[in-house]
Amino acid sequence: MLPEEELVAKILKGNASAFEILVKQYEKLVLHVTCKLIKSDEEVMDVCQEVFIKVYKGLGTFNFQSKLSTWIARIAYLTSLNHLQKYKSENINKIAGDNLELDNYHFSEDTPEKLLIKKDVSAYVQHLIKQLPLPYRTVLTLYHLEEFSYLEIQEITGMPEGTVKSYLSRARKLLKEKLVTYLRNG
Amino acid sequence: MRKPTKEMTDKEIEALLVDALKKEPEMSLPYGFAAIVTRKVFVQANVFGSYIKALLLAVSISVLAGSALFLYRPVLINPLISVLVDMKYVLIFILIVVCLIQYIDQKVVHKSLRPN
Repeated sequence: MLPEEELVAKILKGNASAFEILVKQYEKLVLHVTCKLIKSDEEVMDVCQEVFIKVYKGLGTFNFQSKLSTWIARIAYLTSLNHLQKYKSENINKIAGDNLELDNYHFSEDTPEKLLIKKDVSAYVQHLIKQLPLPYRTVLTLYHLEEFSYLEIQEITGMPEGTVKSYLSRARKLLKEKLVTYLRNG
Repeated sequence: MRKPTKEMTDKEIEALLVDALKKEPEMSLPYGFAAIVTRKVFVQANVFGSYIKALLLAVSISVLAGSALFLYRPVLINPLISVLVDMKYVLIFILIVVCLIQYIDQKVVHKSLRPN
């Protein structure tokens, strides 16, 4: 694998193969961030493409003060938010993420998928995550799936580190409670 | 992932949750996504490059033609300039119309044909 600096330098010189390597390297990261925020598969594809076009256009301004993955994840996060705001597919208050209370959060239980989901804990957890407000979904994905640090998540989302920690802990607590109930009753 | 049971301890449930949170989503990008995006990005970049090349070519041809005229038929230069000056509004109008057609073509026609 090429070092980041070398890869970026090649892309800036117009090397298409180097850009393709970069896309292959980060397509999963971009997909994970966007698909946790946007629910329609087709829209996710479009947004992923848009993210990489923005990455290409902005690569000249990237100064290596952060990791390339953090920078790309931030572009993916902001592009997804813009997309949601543009098409109003998510409540704007949920996107802003302030004053979100999870204490009285209600998950829908009666869905046609319920019986299938009961068979698989992981699918059940994914089903619960999908219903969480957007900032909670984002921090859970970035922290657990992509293994970013609190500081990196702060850099990506713009949320203060304390908020990131608080969202993570509250979301995990709630998911655990639901999982305990599910396992005890299952 | 371990098989969940009703007798699991708190730590085991916590581990089960972390395992589930680390699980990758089932959705994936189509095969060859990187190649598709790369082609799209570089085609866009090349379109701009082609416009620049076309412009440079037009300027070079004009300079060459002007130089040749100046060297071989200097007497034609003054009548040519006066014709150009007389027809300046017609020429400006033609230039504006061509630019406008190109602009509408890029913004409306190509945009609607372009795959996302």
